[in-house]
Amino acid sequence: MSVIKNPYISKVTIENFRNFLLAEVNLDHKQVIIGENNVGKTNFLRAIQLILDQSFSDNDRTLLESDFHDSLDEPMINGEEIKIELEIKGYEHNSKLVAQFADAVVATVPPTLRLTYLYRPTKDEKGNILRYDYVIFKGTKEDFQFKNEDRGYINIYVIKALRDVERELKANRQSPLYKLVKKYEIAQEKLEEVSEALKLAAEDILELDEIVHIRKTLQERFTSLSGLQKDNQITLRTFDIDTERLLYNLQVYMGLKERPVAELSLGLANILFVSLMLILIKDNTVLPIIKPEKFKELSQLDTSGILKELYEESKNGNYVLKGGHSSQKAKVLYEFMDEYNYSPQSFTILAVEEPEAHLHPVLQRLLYREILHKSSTSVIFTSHSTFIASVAPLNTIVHIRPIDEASEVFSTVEMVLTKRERKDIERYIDAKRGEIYFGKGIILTEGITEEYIVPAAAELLGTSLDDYGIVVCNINSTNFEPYVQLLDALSIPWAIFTDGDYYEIVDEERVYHVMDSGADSGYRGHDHIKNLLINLDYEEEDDLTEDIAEEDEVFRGHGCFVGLYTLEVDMMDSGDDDVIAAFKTTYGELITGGDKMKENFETAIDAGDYWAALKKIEGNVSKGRFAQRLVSHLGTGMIPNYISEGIQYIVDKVKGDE
Amino acid sequence: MNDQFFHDLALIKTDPSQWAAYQSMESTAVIAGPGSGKTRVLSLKAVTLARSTIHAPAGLACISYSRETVRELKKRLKLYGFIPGPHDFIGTIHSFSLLHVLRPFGQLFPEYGIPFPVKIIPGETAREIYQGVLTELGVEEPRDLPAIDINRYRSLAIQGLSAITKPTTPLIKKAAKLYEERLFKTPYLDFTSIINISAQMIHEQEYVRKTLQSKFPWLLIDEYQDLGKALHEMVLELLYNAGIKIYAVGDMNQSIYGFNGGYPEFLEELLEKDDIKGIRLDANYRSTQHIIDASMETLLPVPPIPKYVAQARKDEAADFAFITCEEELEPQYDITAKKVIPYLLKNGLTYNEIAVIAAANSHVKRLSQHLKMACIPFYVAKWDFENSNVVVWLQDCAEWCINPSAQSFDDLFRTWYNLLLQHGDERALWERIRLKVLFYKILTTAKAMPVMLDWLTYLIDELQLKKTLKDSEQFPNEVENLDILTDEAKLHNLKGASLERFAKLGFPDNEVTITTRHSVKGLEFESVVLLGMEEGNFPNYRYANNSPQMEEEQRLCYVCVSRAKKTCVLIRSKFYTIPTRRGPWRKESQASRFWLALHHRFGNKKNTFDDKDFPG
Repeated sequence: MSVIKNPYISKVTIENFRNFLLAEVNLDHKQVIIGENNVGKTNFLRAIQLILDQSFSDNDRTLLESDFHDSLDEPMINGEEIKIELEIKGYEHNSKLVAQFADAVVATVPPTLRLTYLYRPTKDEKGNILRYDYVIFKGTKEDFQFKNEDRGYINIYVIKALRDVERELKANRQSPLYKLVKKYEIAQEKLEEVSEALKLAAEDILELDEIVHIRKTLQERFTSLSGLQKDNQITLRTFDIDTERLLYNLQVYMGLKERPVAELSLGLANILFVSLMLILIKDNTVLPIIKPEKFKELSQLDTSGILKELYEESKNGNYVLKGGHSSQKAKVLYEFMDEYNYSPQSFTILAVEEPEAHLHPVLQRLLYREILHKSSTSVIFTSHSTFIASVAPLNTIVHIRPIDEASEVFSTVEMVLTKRERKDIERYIDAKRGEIYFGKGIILTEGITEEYIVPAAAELLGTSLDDYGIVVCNINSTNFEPYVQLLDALSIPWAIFTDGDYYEIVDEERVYHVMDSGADSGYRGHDHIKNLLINLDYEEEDDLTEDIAEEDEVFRGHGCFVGLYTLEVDMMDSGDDDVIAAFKTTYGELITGGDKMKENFETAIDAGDYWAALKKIEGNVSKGRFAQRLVSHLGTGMIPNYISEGIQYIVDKVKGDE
Repeated sequence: MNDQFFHDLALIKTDPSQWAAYQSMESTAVIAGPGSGKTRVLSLKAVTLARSTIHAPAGLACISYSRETVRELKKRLKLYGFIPGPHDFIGTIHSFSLLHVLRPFGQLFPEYGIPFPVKIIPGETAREIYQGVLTELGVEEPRDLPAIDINRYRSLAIQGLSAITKPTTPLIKKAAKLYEERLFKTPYLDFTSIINISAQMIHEQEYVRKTLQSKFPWLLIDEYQDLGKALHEMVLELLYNAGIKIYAVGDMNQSIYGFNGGYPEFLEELLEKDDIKGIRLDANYRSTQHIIDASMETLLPVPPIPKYVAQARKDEAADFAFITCEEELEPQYDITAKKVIPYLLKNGLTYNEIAVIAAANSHVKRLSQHLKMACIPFYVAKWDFENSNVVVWLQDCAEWCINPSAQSFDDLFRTWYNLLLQHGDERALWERIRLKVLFYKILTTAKAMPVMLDWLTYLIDELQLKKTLKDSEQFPNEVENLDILTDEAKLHNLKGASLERFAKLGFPDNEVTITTRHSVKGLEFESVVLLGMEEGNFPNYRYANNSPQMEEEQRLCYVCVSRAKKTCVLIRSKFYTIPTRRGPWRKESQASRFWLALHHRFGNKKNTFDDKDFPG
C-alpha cells in the first residue's frame, strides 16, 4: 500500500578514491551496479559507506595512503585529497528529514541534499602537511558538520556477498528479527505474562524425578567445590524466561516441518535475511499497530477521521492498520502520522552485494523483481548475475568500467527513450538474459544469420570474440537506435553489422531483392544508419555526402558496418567457388526433400539468382538453421569485407580500453 | 588555512613590524596604533598557533574585551578557515573565568565560597545591595558614592604581582568592602567577582595554573588596555608562574574605560617586563597623515609620542571643518542633518562612510530624530537592549531566515535546545527530532515575515521564549531585555525595520552611523562629525588638568579623531543655558581645548564657519 518512496542517493561523485580518479554518476531509487571483477563495485559502495554507514568507526573513516588512486604519486606527501559527494533526493515528504537536514539543502527544485566526505591535509602556515583528517559536512560549508546523529536519519546498510547468514540470523541482539520485534515496542506486562506462562508450562519437566535428581546432585557437588561462596543456589530452567531475552529467542522456522535456519539452504537463508532487512528498514512513520492509549491520544488530533477509517481494533485491543486502501488515503495518513508520530525515523538505503550467490536463477529473478519493482526502500545491488540484469528496469543499470587506468561510472538514469522503445529493449534484455550488459564490447546485428556467422568468422580471422569478451547481440530488427543509446549511456563500445538492403527504382517505386542491374538504386541499410547517426548527434545531416563509398567510410568510423544486399546474398555474390560449394553442401545436408529440390537450389545459385536461392533456404530450411550449419563449412574467403573490418574495429576498441 | 589566510599573510609580510609581530614566538606585547591592522595580525597569529604549535588536547585561547569584539574575532578566524574546536576558547574574560577557572575548580577549592551552580546576580538584587551599602554608610545621595566607583575599586583591589595602585577614598574603600560582604551572602556572583575570584585562584592555586598551562600553552589577548586589573594579574601570574606564553595586543592611547577599571598602566607595565618582547605597529593604513597628526594633537602633551606614519593614504590632504552654532545642542543636530551630511554626500561620500559622534545616549536619541526628519538613513551602534547571547542568537535566526546558507540550522537549533535544557523547560525532554521539526516549522513560517517586529513577536511567542527564560539564573535579565528589544522594534529606532536590518544590526547598511564616543572604538569612517566640542563638555569641567580622568578624556578624543580616514568636522555652540539654584543661567561656552589645538594647526578662514554661513 505504501506509495511513498524512501529517500535515495541521486548522485555520487568520487575523486581519487581507490579505483576512481574522477567518477560522477546520477542514480535512481533502485540501482543495479554491474561491471567486471576488480573494477570497483565494492569500492563504489564503500565510498557511500564512508559517509552513511552507521557501523563504520572513526577508524574506518580515516583513510590510508593505499586508499588513494594508484596513479597518484606519493599522494599524502603531495597533499592530494579524497572527496566523495552524495546527493540525496526524495526526502521532502518527511518533516523530520526536512528539519534534520536543513543545513544540507543545495537545491529546492527538486529538493536535494548534499553530503561531502573530504580526506585532506592540514597544513601549517608554510604549507607543510601536518597530518591528514577527514571531515564530513552538510551542504556546501565545511563547518556544517554531518554527525552520527544525522546517520540515525539517513544511512546505508550493506549486506556483504560473503558472509555467514546463519550466524546473523541466529538468536541474538544483532539479528534482524529481534530488531524488528523491538520496533513494535511490545508492552512489558504482556511479556511478563508470557514469561510466567512459559515458566509454568515448563514446571512439569522440572518435576520429573530424573531432573530433580540431577539438580540435587549438581547442587551438592557445587556447594562442596565452592566452599564458603554464598548465593550458590542452582536452578534448572528449560527456557530463558527473562523478558528481554525472550524476544531474541524468537527464531524463524520454515516449511511444514518447521526447519530451523541452520538446516536451510544458503540461498533460502539469504532470501530470508534480505526479506527481514527490507521489513526492518521500511519507513515506519505510519504505525502498523497502535496501542489503545496512543490511539486515543492520536484520535483526538485526527480531525479528518483517517485513523478510524484505516485502523481496526484487534482481539488484543490494539489498533491494526487495514490494507488495501487508496494511495490518496495513504498519503493523508502519512501526512497525519508525519506530524504526530514523534518516534525517530531512520531511513536506510539497502545495498546488497552479489545477492546471486547460492541462489537458484528462478529465485534470483523473483527476488529482484520483487525488490526492484515493489519495494519503497531504495536499494543498490552489485551483481554479475545476468538474471538480475535481465529483470532490472532499463534505467536502473549502473556500469563501472575501466577507462585508461581509472574506473568510471556510467548509468542509464538520464537516457531518453520512448515508452515503446523502452519496452522493446526491456523485453529483449529479459529474453536474452541481459547479455548486452556484460560484454566488454557489443556487436549489434539485425538477424539470426549474423548471430551464428559473426563469431565463427571472428574465430577464423584469429580473433576469438570470447577472448575479448565481445558479445553478438541479435536484436531481430534494424531499430538499433535505442540499443546504441543504452550502450552509449553505459559507455560500452559497440559496432553495428547490418544489411545494405539494395534496391532499384522502377516506376518511382523501390524494388528490393534484386541484383545490381545498373539502374537507379539505393541502400536502405545506409538510410537507417544515416538516420541513427544524425538522431544521436554523431553527424550533422549537411555533412554527409551522397557518395556511397565515402558515406560508408564515415559510417565505419562510427562503428557502423553496412553490407550490400543481405548477408547470405553478399556471401554468395562474392563469386568465390568455396562459398558456392559450401552453400550447396549445407543446403543438401539440411533439406529433407528429394534431389529435385537440391537441383533447383543449385540451378538458382549457378544462374546468379541468389535471391531465389535465399528464398529456397528460407522456405525449405529457415535462415537460422542454415546459418548454424553453414558455420561448419565456413572459410576465410567467404567472409564479406564489412564483417571482417567490423570485427577488427570492435576488437581494437575493446583492446584500446585495456 | 585557506586562500584568504595566505593572501593576508602575504599582505603583512610587506610591513616589517607586522611581520615581526606575527613571527614572534616568545611572549609578546603588540602596541598597535589606530589603523595598524592589529586584528589581522592577531588573527593570523592565532590561526597559525592553532595549526602548528598547539596540539590537541591543548587548545587555543583568545580573550577579548566585549561580546562584539569576540564576535568580530571569531568572524575573522572563520574567514581564515579556522573553526574553534572543543579544546579552543575564544571569548570574553568573564566566560574564560567561568568556563576554565570557576566551573572546573570551584568545588575543588571550597574556600573561595563559589556558589553552585554559578548564578549571575539579577540587576535588582545588585541594586538592593548597593542601596544597603549606602544606607549603612549613611550616604543619602547616590551621586556622592556612585555604584560605578565602588565596582571600579573592587576591580582594582585585587592584589598580586602588579605594582600598580590607584588612589581612592576611604569611603569608597569601605563601601567596596561592605558590598563584597553582602554579595558573598547571596547565592550570586557578579561580573567583578567572577574575574576577581578567578585571578585570586590562579594566583594562589598551583594546580589551577598547571591545568591552564596544559590546556592553553598560549594566551592571546585583544584590547589589553580595556581589560582591567584582574586580567592583568592573571596574565602576570600565568606568564611567570605557569609558563604560559602571552600574546597581548593593545594600545595605551586608546584606553578609555577607566570608569570600568581599565587603565593604560597595565599594558605599560606588561611592556616593561623583561620576559615580554614589545613590538610597535606604527604604520597607519587607515587615515591621511593630517588626521594622524590631528589625533596626536589631541593627546598632547603625553609622551612617549608614537610616530605614526600614513601608508595607504599618505599623499592625501585631510579636510577639516570647524562650525560654531549659536545656542544649545539642538542647532548642532539641526545643522548636522540639514547641512553637514548633505555637504559630505555632495563631496562624494556615501552614508555608511559617515559617523556622527555625540557625548551621550540621550544625545544620540535626539540626533536620530533630526536625521529621521531629514530622511537620512542612520544606524545606532548603541542600543538600549543588551546584545546578549539570546539576542545574538535571535539575530542569527533572522539571518538564517533570509539566507539559509549564512547560518547553520543545526547550530541555531542546538542553541535553543541548550536554552531549554539549562532552564529545565519540559520540552527538552521531548524526542529531539520532534523539537527540531517544531523549530524548523517556526523558523520557516517566520521567513514570510519581512518586518522585524512581526518576526520577533512571532518567534518569541511560538518558541515560548519568555516562559523558558522566566526567572533564568544564567540570564537573569533576559526577559526584560527581550521586552526592551521588542519595544525598540515597536516604538523606537527599529520601528518598521526590516528583518534584514535586525539580522545585520552590527553592520550599517548604507546608513550614517550615530554613536557615543566610547562606542565608536574599533570602527573607521571616511568622515567623522564630532558634536559638543565645548570646554567643560568635552573635556568635562569636573576633571582637573593632568588628572587621570583628563588624560582619559584626551585619549577619548584621540580615539574619536583617529576613526576618520580623511574628514573631520567639529561642531560647538557659543551659549548654553544651565539650570542653577538661582534659576537658568545663560552661560557663554568656550571652544574645547581639543578644538583649539586642532584649529591652531589646521584651521583657516576657509574651513571655519558659523552655522549660518556653512554651505548648503
